[in-house]
Amino acid sequence: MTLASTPTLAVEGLTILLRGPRGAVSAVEDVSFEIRQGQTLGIVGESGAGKSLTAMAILGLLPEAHVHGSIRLAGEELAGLDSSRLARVRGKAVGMVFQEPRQSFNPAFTVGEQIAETLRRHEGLGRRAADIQAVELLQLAGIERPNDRAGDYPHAFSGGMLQRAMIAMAIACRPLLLIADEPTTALDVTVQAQILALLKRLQETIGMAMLFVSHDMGLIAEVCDDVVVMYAGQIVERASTLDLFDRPRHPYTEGLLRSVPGNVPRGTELYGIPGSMPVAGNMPAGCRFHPRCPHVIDTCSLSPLALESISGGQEVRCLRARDLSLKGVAA
Amino acid sequence: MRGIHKRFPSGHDWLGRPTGFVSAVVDVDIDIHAGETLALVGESGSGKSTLARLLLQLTPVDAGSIELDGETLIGLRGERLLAMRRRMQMIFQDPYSSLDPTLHIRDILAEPLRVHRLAPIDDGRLSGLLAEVGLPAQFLGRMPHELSGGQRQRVAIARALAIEPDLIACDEIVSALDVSTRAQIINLLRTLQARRGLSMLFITHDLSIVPHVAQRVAVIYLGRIVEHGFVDAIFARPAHPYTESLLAAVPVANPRSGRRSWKLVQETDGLTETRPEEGCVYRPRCGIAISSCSSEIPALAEFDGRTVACHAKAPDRRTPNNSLLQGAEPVS
Repeated sequence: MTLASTPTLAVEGLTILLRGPRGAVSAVEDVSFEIRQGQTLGIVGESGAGKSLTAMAILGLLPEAHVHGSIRLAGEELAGLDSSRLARVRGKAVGMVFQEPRQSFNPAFTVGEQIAETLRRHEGLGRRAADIQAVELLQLAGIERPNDRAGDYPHAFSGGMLQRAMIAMAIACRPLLLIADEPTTALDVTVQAQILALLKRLQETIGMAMLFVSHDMGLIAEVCDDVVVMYAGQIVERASTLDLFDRPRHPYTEGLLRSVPGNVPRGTELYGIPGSMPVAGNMPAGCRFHPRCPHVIDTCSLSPLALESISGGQEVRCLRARDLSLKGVAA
Repeated sequence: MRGIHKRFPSGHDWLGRPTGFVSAVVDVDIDIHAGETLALVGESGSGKSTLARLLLQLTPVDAGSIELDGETLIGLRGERLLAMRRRMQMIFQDPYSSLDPTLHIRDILAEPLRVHRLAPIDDGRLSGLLAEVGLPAQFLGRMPHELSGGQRQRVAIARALAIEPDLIACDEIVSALDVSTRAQIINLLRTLQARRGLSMLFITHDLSIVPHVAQRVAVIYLGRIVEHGFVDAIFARPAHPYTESLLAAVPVANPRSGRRSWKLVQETDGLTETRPEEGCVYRPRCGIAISSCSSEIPALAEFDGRTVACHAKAPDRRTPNNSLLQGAEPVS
């Protein structure tokens, strides 16, 4: 790596505190990662792992007092920026796509108006120029008859088409970073594949970095270069996608891989990790995964574990990482 | 179910008279055998859920017949309808809206027993139901909001089992759940089916779980069944181009496979807005359409150990015997 490669996004020691009935509890703890230009980082885990909170903190959507740590975008520190600066950065340099496009659009304005509004606010375009560019963006996002569709209200769009429009809006200002939080969960499989193809194509055209949040190991395998596995607010494993699937080092990662229906012979029972994720404020002592872990030993519950480098850039938070031989996915 | 048709009004004039119709289900035949699971797969808007509602008589059919163990279900009223309904139950996708938030789990489970006047309703019987779905008896005193999504779905299953039905229709019941919970619920259904000999109609848009729950599968597109047969055969060698595109779109959790669903996808996939008035409904999305596809609606025909409705893949040499039905088909 040369000096020129300042990461597009560098998150360091991100901790998110939420107010609970018995004081503040940490919902996300000491999360660090980097994404470089043109790369896709996946965050995977089940609900309650802290994936979406992490994404929201990067977007500055959480009250500042609750977020600690450093978030640098192309070298510039975002933490501590006042809200108006942050809103400018967020709209322009970071694009976002959520699971439910219908909740992200205002039903009272046409889709074209809403995309044009983004362009006028962040790019300083005039009304006409913004309208024209909004149509071009819809076309880029694969929407047929973009001229007509720009004048339609969100309710007139199917889920897949509205997600395309959402993506058009997210890339309107050619962001450095696109955050996609479960962008295809609400869509049919065929539409999901099209949305992934669109994201990949746009990523190549614009050269943006992508943070891809998902609970689906299949999607992670198909779109990400690197992966962060989160469990109960912590990173439990970090690796390149190939290493993670070849040789998972954390029992939770192994459990997620075993849970994929396609990795189980047809006609047989599915594998599910027993138990459920603990909630913030009620974390097990020691390793947070130990009550559900098939490889647990007595010492696992003694003291909190650090994320440790194990080999070739793979990092894991497990006492037994060196002596376990976990099962990956056969090629 | 035989020759099932259902259409819904697509607009109304000022007197509330329908101005047009859209066909939700067209000429569908379905059999579900005792102790068997039939999966119904297709995209949203394909008519999967409508078909389940028709089966349970939650919505009346326009044409066709539905029989349960040889006894017709259509036109039943009052006591006899109630008696037939007792033998079928439905479980819905969203366990947050399908359980009454103001009731304790005890009352949620007791309600179907009361409706069908099945005694005795005591805690022993109700906690037995909970035990069957893997929940402790203390849950009887809880409210739905105290439960996780997976636990709620278990309660919904227990409620469906309460009146000991022969058939359960499951509409996307694991779609809102995490992977571990999804696996636990599916395995629970497998166990219950084996223990009670239940028949199931399992509706899902998630093809990856189908081989783990169902023996047979029917693929439905714009209200018509386009391929129907054993899961093993169809998943190994999909015949209809629609089935093929659905399977190609399932991501594979193996980065070394080199396969990427988003590289296999066709531009036209997911388009359901164009519905041709003549010929095969899948034609606008189809990569292998031939001339007859634009004039004749393909009938389901035997092909490679399953039935397929496709002129290009499984040419049907018989004269279409459903031409009468086609003539009668409403045009939207």
